[in-house]
Amino acid sequence: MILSGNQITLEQRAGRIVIDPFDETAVNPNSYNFTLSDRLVIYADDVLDASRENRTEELRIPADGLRLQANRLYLAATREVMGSEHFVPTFAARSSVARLGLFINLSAPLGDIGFIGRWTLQLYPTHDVIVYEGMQIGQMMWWRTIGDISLYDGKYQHATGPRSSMLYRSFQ
Amino acid sequence: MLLTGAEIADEYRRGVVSIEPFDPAQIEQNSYGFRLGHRLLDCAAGADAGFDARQPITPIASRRIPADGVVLRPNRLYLGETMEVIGSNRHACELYGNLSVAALGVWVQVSAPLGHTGAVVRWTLEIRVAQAIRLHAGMRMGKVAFWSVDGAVLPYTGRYANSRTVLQSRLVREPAG
Repeated sequence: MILSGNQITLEQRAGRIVIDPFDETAVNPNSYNFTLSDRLVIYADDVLDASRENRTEELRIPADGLRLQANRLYLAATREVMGSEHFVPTFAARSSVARLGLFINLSAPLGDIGFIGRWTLQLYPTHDVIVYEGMQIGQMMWWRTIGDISLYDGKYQHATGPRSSMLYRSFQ
Repeated sequence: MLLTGAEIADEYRRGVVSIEPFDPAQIEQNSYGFRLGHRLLDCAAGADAGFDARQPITPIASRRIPADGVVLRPNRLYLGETMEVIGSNRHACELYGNLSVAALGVWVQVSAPLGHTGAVVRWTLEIRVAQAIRLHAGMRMGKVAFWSVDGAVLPYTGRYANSRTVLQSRLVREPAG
C-alpha cells in the first residue's frame, strides 16, 4: 500500500520517515516533492565501461539556471536528505517536469529501505531544458512492506551529493 | 504491499517465488538483484529502416556477449535478458534498474516494468544507453521487486509465457484492429 501525503507528514513527525528539510507545502496526496541541488556530475569519457571507475567532472547550476543539452546524461541530487527504516521509497519526476521531456531516473525508481541520504537523480533531457537550483523536480513515494526488514548499508549510504556509479567495485 | 528481502527469500524456500539460479547474496533490502545474461539482440540494422508494429524487426542480430563485454551505442535499441529465470505464481513483479547501472546512463526497460503473476521467465530487457558504454555479461544489472496481490489470481498465459531467452516483440500476433 502507498502512504498518503497525510501519513507521510505524520511519519516524518514521528521520525519514521526522514525528509530534511521538510516543507509541509511540498506534500502531495501520495508523495512529497523534492528539490534539485546545484551540483551536477557528468562523465568525462566518450565511452564508459561498467567494470571500471569512469572519470567525472562536476558542474554547478548558477543562479540563473543551467541549460542541459538534449540526449546527455547529468547526475544530479536532491537537496533533501530522505529515507526510511520502515517504508520502501520510490521516486518519479513530477508530471510538470516529465511534460518538458526530462527524465529524472532511467528505469530505476525503486530505492532500498534503510537508505538515508541525498538521492542521485539521472537527468536526461529529450530537448534542451534550463533547470534551476531548488526547483521541485520530483516526488518521493513510500510503500508498506511484508516481512522482516533488514536495512540498507551499501556503498551509497549517507550520500551528500550526486554519486557516480560505483558498479566497478563489484568487478574487483 | 512490497516484499522485503527476507520475505522474498522465505517465499523462495516455500516455492512461491521462483528464482533460478538463486543466490542469497543477491537478495536486496526489498528486491532481488538480477544479472545481465549472455544473449543480446541488436536491433540497430533494423532500426535504420524503422520498426513496424505488425512486423518482426528485421534484420536483428543475435549475439553472445563476449568475455571482454560489448559496447552499446546511444539511440539504438538492444534486447538483453536476465541471467536468472524469475517470477511468482502468487505475487506480481516489477523489474527495474539499480542506481549503479542507471547512473551509468543505462535503461533496462522502456516504460514496461510489470511482470504478471504466473510469468516465470528469463526476462527480456529493453536496453537503451544515454552514452556509449561497455557492458559485461554477469554484471549486476537491476532488481526485481515482488508485490502481494489483492484478489483472486488469474494465471498468465500470454505470448511470452515460459520464455527462456531474449525474445523480440510478438505484437505481430495481435489481431489487426
